[in-house]
Amino acid sequence: MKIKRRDFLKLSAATGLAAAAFKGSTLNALAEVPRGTIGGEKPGKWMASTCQGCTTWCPIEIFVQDGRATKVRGNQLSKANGGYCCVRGHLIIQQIYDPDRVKTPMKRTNPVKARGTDPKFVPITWDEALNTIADKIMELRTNNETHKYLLMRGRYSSNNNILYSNLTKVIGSPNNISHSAICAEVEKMGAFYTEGHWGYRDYDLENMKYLIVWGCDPLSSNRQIPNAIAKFGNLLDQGTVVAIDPRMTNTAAKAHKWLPIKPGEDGALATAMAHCILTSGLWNKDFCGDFKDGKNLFVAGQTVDEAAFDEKHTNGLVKWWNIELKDRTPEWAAGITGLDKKDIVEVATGFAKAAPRCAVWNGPNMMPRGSYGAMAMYALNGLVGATDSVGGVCTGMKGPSSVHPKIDDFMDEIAKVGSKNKKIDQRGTLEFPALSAGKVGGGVVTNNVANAILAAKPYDIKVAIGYFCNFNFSGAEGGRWDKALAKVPFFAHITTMASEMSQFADIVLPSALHHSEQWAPIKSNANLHGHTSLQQPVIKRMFEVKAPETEFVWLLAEKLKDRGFENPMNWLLTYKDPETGKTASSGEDFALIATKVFTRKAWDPAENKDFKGDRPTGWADFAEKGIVNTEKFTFGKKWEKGFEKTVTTKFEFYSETLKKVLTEHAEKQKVTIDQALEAINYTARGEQAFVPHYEPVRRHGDIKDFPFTLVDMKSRLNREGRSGNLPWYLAFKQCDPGDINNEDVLQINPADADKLGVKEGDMLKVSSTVGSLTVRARLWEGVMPGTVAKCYGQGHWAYGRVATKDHAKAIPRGANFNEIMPDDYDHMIGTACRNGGFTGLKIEKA
Amino acid sequence: MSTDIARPDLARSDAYRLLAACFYEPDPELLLEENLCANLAMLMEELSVPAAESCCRLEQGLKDSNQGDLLVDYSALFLDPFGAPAQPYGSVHLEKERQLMGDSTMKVRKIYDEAGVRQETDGPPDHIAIELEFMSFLGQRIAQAIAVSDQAAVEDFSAIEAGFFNTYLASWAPLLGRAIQEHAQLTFYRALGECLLAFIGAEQLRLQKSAVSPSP
Repeated sequence: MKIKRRDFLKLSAATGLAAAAFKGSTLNALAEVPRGTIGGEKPGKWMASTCQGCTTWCPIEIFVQDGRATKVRGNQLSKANGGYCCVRGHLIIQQIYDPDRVKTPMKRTNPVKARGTDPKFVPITWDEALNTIADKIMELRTNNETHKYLLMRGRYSSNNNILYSNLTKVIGSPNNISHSAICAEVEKMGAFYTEGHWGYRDYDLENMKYLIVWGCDPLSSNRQIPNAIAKFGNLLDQGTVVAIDPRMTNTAAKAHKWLPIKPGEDGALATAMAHCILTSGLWNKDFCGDFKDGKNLFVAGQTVDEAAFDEKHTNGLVKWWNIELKDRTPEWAAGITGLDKKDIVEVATGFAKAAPRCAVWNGPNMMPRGSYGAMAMYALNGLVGATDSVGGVCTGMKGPSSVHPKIDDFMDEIAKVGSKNKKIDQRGTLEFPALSAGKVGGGVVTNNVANAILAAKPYDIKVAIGYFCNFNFSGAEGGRWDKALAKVPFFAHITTMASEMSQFADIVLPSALHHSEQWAPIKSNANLHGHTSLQQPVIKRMFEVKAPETEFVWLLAEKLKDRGFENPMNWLLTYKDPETGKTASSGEDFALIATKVFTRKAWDPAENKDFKGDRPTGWADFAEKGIVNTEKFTFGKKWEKGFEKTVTTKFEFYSETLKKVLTEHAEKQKVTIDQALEAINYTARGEQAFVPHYEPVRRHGDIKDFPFTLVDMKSRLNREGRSGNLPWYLAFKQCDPGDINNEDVLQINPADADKLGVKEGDMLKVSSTVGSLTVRARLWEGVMPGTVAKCYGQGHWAYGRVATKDHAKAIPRGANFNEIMPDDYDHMIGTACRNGGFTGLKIEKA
Repeated sequence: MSTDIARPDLARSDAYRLLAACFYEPDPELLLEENLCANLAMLMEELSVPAAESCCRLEQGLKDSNQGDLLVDYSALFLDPFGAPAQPYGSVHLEKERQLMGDSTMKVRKIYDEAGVRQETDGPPDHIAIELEFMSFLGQRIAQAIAVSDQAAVEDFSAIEAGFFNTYLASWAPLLGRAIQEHAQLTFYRALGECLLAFIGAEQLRLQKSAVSPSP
């Protein structure tokens, strides 16, 4: 805020002539207007947008009155959520109106970048900020070092291509790094290397008879929460729900049966369940096939002749039995998982008997060696024919969309050469195969970027931009990011809230909030429908915030053009409003046009005439409704046409798809597959590498010195780690089972607490192999003895005044256990770990 | 036309305005050129507000610090993205849960509208600088009405002034003043906190008896 008029500082009283003074302009922020009438509230309106508080990406409506958001609900037209949002949606109001939001571009005036050292940020104009960033990029181009530009992405929309991938390439860098590998990528390995689906699955909850919720909590966190809540009651009445989780989740609290498995031993349980299903003769004969003579030869401990079995839609069932399952008895699994043998048999057979109206709903499984466990869990869906079956699990529908304009014509020589460099995250190496979606080096290794920057391997990073991300907080052993970002010569952070990552920024830029302050397209699916929905600037922006993926890019392109680098702007000018043919004239204008371009197939009658879902009459109709739903998913197509994305076009129990990519990786690295697996800490050797199998937990910390095992949990109030500064988050924290309001606690079993002499509310010193922190004890029977559970979300040492106890001294409110989780990976996919019992802990009274 | 009897209201209006100017991004050169601190001291004395010494410290603070230092302190107090300790928005202090654009903010905006002004800058309308400016505007309107013996207008704007001040500005400005005193690093801002507290305190004494409830 600046004084606009010198007259504002003049004295009117000094003139002694009151009337004369009134003629001068003594107002600065205010202007005279005709007096308004005294009246009540202006009528408000529900306006459509999309929540991105988790990956459900729910279509919502925000009630806006006088330009102010006051209430939130699900989009009444949404088939994904039935018109409801979960509690996260309601937190949007506090998120928008958080007084600690970044309000203006700011630059650091203290060059020392460190935790607990005040950056001494001061306000600057967008113009100054953009000029600085443009100068840094031009310096890279002048020095042929464009690959040393790094773009880090957090939460994103379908407009992310513009900033994340395309601008990065046009500048000349290969380094567009997403947050995905600290999110939930391992679970996708399960469905991909069995049936070729890379993504989240959808579930026919309405017609389901048996649901196994495994290592996740659909009633509170990822994903399709409103739909799960809506359908859960009927499912409990008409069928059976089993929750498999080391702690009592919301789902476990309501399920018919809760199996408190030892953390990370899911692969043992899944393979034992498969063993039970096969030895009981309960596999789905229509899907998997049967023995030629009709006699079940799956007998524990005995190999089976592959030729004796006629497979239908699957590949390698007998191989899977021979290689892995024949010895995976319930007794064996009981010893590993801590579960009762009877429960294992009961759940396995109950599940199979309900087939195909059943599903395993498996969670993130972000643990070392997690991929094979994810495959084993998901393979159960194939074994009972639940995949692509009514009442079962499916790949879901996709909302309609068009494409963003190509950048080929705007890649100059510098861009072409620069963008072909190796990526900074070391993907595709012996250490990080990153076998995402069947491609060597296809996945990102987000958390390793900090290590790569510190080691300058493959090279150093000189200019970095991050948006909607906070890896210092959300990545395991986040302190590495402190050091890495302190080393980067120039870093700009585009964010709604300053955070640990901003602490190391040279420039902090105020971001628009995705749900209420910007134009963007979103695609998601749930409840057997896909949708394309809009995020709209439904409220009046309070401050000079900009949408990172569109407005920021436009403004930066203007500055680059001023410096003689015209390609970015020329590329952005290929976006033409589908209705008028006009190009953009401002950042806001560009955001709208880009959104219209990408969603054109959803709303343009000329392009959606064959679409079988909702068909708006045009853009205005689409913007008003905010959503296009697809038709309902049709089951059985894969049974008819095969699984197009697997090598065999079958559901693969013996994964030729994984074998192909592992072979490719090993050949590239000039090692055997066994050597490749050894290099990434897997125990599988030989043929075991190609089937879902049990991998022992890779635990950091000897059980003698670190006797407790950490279970990481997510809050139903977490807007992806952006809730810590919201008073409602703290006020309602006890809605997470075992937690309490206005506190951040470590849940410990009362029997363990008793042995340690710990009482409710005591402060504990908790240590892992990489560090210690203190946290309050919460005695809770919902965690197994030997394990402790801690919710992610609090423990910020740099955030707003609610979330942080003392920023100046870097004292957090609560404890962020990512600080003491070791920096380990499921190297096969490249994900950072937070699940699966990989963190051993020592607990003492503080 | 009588200007003498309107002078206290004009002086008060000026005091509100000059105080408001101190809550913008600091421009010491401009403030010194326009003699802001001395003028403010003179006005405080004329209005019998015990803030003359604080105004002197305000001036000394301006002279002792360069713009860069003032900007760092201003940012740390009012804009710190890690949580400003002296939140300059009324609703953060008045609402049950600290937030921008609360119901109180909307009521403030409505009062502006009813009084005949509209905010022309970004940000919530209950920023301390804007609320002080609004009080300055009301003071001018009252002085004008007095000058032309328009008793109805005097009563009208006086009622708005008392209602707005007692219900809104005076309910939180002292909290802000104390927060500034507690967290400011530089003399200028410490003195500004003192001035704000002294002036609002004096105004409370003046306006507490004429309190009129604002429109619901």
